Amino acid sequence: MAEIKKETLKTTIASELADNNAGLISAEDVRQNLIDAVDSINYIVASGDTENKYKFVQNVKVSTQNGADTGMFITESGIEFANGHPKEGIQLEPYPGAEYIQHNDLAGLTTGDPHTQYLPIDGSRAMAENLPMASFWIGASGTDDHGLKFVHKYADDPAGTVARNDIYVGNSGDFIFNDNSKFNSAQGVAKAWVSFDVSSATPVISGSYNVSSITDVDTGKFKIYFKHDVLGGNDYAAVGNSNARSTRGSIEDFDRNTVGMVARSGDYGTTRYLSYCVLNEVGSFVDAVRNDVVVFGLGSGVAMNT
Amino acid sequence: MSEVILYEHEGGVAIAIPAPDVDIKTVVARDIPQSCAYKIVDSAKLPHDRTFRGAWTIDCTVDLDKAKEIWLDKIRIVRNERLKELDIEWMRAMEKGENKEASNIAAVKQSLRDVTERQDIHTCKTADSLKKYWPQVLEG
Repeated sequence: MAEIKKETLKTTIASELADNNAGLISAEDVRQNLIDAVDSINYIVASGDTENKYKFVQNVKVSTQNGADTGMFITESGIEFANGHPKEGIQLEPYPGAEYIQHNDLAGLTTGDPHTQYLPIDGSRAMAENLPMASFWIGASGTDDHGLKFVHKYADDPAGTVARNDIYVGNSGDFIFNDNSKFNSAQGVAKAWVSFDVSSATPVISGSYNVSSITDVDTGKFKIYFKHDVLGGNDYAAVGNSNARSTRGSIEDFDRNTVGMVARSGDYGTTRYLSYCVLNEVGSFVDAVRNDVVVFGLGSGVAMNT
Repeated sequence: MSEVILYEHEGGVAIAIPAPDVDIKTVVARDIPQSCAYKIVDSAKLPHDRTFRGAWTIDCTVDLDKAKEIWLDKIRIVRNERLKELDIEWMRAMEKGENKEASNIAAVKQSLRDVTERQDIHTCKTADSLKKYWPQVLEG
C-alpha cells in the first residue's frame, strides 16, 4: 500500500497516464494509480495540511443509521478549536452536557474571587449594592422569629407612593451594647415630647416628637395633640414642667407653679390630646416661656410587659 | 410667620399651632373638632399682646367686654393682697387705740372692695387704654 501525498499522486497520474498515443499505458498502470489513490485518501485527508491548503469549506455532516452507534466522529487524541487560545483551544475530554457537569468538579473554585455576584462568607469583600431581604429573618440561627427582619410598609401613605421599612426584632432578642447595657423593649422610650414657648402672642413649638399640634385655649391653658395612634390609651405617664414666667434670662427666672395635665381624651383611631395648664401661686393661669412635656406609655397595639 | 387655625371653643377662641413636621391640613383633619367652623390665618394677624388672650375673637380682635372682665380679675388679685395688708394695719391701729387711723384704713378697704364696681372702666374703649386703667387705691 502506498500512501502518497496529493501533489505526488497527481504528478504520478499525469506522468504515468499521459495521452496513450503510443499505446504504452497498460491496465496495470491504471489499476496501480487507482489503488494508490484509494490508499492515499486517509493520508491526504489527515495530512495535517488542512489548515492552509486542503481544508473542508463546506459543512461536514455525519449521521447514524437505524439508531446504531455509527456515523460518529471518533477521536483518540482531541479536538482543537481554531478560535481557542493556544492551550485552551484543545479539548481533550468529551463535553458531557450541562446537566452532567458537577459544580465542585470545576477548576479554580477557591482561586481569587470567582463569584463576584455573591457576598463572600469570609468577609473578604463588602457588598457593592443594596441587599433586599424581603420579609425573611436574619439571625444567628436562621429560624423564624429570631434576629431581625424588615417589612416593607405603606402604612403612612395609603396611596403607596412612599416606601417604608419597619425593622422587627425577634423573640428573646435584646440590643446589647459594649457596656453590657441592654435594650429589650421600646416601652421604656418616651412616646412623645414637646417643648414650647408662650412668651409671645402665638405659642412657638421649639421641638417635638410624635406631637401633631398644640392648641392654645386660653392664658396658661393648652391642649397637646398627639400624632395618629402614638398612644394606645389615655392611662399614660405625663411629666411636665414650666417656669411660669415670660422671661428666661437667669437661672432664677421661674416662679413657683403647678403644672396640671389632667384631661386626656381620645379613643383608638381618633385623635388623643393631653391638657397642659400652668397655675401660679396666687391662683392665676400664666403663660410661660418654658413649657416641657414628656409622655411615656404604651403605644397603639402594644401589650404591657408582664 | 406661620399659619395657625382658629376655631370657637367653649365661649372663646382656640388656636391650633401645628408641630413643625406636621402639615396644617392634617391638623385641620384630625385635631379640630368635627363640624366646627375654623379659620386658617397668619399668626401675625393675631393680637400681639396676650394680656387679654381669653377675650380674643375668631376675627383676630379683642372682645372689650371680656377684656374688662379679665382686667378686673387681675385687679381683684392685687386688691385682695392689698386688703390683707390693710387688715393687719387696721388691727394694729385698733390695738393702739388709734380710732381715726383705723377709720381711714377702713375707708381705703371699702374703696378697694368697690374698685371692681367702678364705672370709669367703661371709659376705656381699646385694649391698650384698658391696660392703663389702674385705680390709685390699688397702689400701696
